[in-house]
Amino acid sequence: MRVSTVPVRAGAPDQEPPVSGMAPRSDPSPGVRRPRAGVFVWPALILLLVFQAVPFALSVFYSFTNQRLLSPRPARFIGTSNYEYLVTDPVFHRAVTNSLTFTVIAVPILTGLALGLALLLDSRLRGIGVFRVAVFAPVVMVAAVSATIWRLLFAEDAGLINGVLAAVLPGFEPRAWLDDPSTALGAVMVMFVWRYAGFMMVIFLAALQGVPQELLESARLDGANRLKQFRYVILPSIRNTTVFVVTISAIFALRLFDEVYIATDGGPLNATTTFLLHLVKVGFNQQRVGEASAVAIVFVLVSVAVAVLIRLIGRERREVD
Amino acid sequence: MARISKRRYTRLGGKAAHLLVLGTISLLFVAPILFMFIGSLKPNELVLTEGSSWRAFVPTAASLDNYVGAFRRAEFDRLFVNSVIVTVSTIVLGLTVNSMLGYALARLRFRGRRLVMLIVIALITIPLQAFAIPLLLMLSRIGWVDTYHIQIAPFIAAPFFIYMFYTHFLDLPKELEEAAAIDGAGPMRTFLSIIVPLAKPAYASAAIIGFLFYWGELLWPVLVTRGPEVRPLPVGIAVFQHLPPVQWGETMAFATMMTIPILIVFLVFQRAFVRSVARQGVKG
Repeated sequence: MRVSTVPVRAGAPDQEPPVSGMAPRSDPSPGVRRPRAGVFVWPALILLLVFQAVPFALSVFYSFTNQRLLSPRPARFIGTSNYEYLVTDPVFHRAVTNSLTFTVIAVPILTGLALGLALLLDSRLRGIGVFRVAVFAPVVMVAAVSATIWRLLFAEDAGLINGVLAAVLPGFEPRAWLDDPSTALGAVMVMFVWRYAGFMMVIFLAALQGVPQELLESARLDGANRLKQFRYVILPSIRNTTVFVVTISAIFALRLFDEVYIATDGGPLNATTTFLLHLVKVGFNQQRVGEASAVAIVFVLVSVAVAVLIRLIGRERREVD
Repeated sequence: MARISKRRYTRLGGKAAHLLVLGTISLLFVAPILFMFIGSLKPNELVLTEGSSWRAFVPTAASLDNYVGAFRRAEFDRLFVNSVIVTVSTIVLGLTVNSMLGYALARLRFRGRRLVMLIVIALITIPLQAFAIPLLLMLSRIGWVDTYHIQIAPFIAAPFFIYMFYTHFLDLPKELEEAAAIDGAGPMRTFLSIIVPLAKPAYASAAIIGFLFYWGELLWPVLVTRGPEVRPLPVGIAVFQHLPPVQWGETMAFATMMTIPILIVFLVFQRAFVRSVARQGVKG
């Protein structure tokens, strides 16, 4: 039997005031030991504060200074100079454009493909599990390994992609996909979609299996064909999941790093440089921590903006219905 | 009669078409992994010359030379040990502290509980990359660069897992804990003897997902390791594939060896794994 629990939202008011378990207090009801939560809370809390919260605060702080990575000279406060520089820096512009373009194109492809796969795999055929595992397998691969493999697959003379396309399309000229500024980002998109399709597919699959069967049945009885069933019963039932998938796909897309670090190093000519690769190059290779911190803050703001935007778009369509 | 057999034919045909599509798609998804594995068995030149044809998937000349080469040239054993040390430590310590905080947030009342909850939720949305460089700066000043602990410590407390444990513990029935409290058991005793055994699936999911995250972590080790002493595998393969003379067969062997631990863990636990990913998605 399950005891009903109070659903907790961040910032939601508690039903009862939190009682101290960390500092001794006079006990109003002797004999009832107040649970001591200290040992449960402090280890993780200290780690979080020291290794995540404080560095993030430092990030905000450094973005207004000219801090360097190794220099013994103390950092000087320079106000918004870093941010002003970013506004004019063409490489940063390229990073932002690439990241946003990548996100805007790859996320719908990924979401659509994942949903299609989930529909195909939502079946009780015997052995369907094998196919699901196969589609999910790329998710489990280490990103660095996948990027390495794809580097070879996209190679101009030794690459399988060119080999397959040459065999299938008459008169096809092999291309150096990762060395050509016009195709490099697309190649990275292929890597990205291949890697995450299974992950999103599994999420959709779970949602599809939660679609109320009675609705589908009544639609079928009303004469709706598969397409109509999909559009009017299935899609609305999985709206929240779809928004979720789009959101995390966008987050992953904006955070693209491993693939571009290994397969293209942001090239050719910055055609595939992304937010995070730029961050690493500026802060680590060029040692400009101040500027890198500004990049990091912009990145966080853009991520939040994109997530909010997706949420708004998702909600708006619900109201239109 | 003809009508009946036609209907059965299309249903069978439909099923066959369905299976064919599924089979093709599955092959497409698995192809690069197969390519990696087959390539690791071939001599380096053949990997390149046969890479663009169907022979890429056929072990035309199978040997383990590449594995020997990768071991020797890339010091694979050292990199492997490094990855194991870092990953296992992070997971073991992480499961401990994250589940304890998750339990405290779900069941214990303490001063500042709401503030801590807020911090955890806020940190979930802030990616490592947003503060990686200042963290590097901080830790380099105390001499932590190029060590094991710099690769482990920042990842032990993970807001994502804290939240995961929190939601899991919230759903557990309270009677058992209440009974234990009546028997005079303190929170730690209750936690260790009742909650932990009950939450085994959550611990298993967290361990597997954690293994996946940390085994493949690239950005942080790139920033904090310098030489090969404590370098983990992902950085290792990034370096090795550019190390002259560049040998793709050996690189594929390296890639395969790096992937095998995860593939084993995955294949053994895949049903639980896939289910936990789906559960997170439905909750979201």
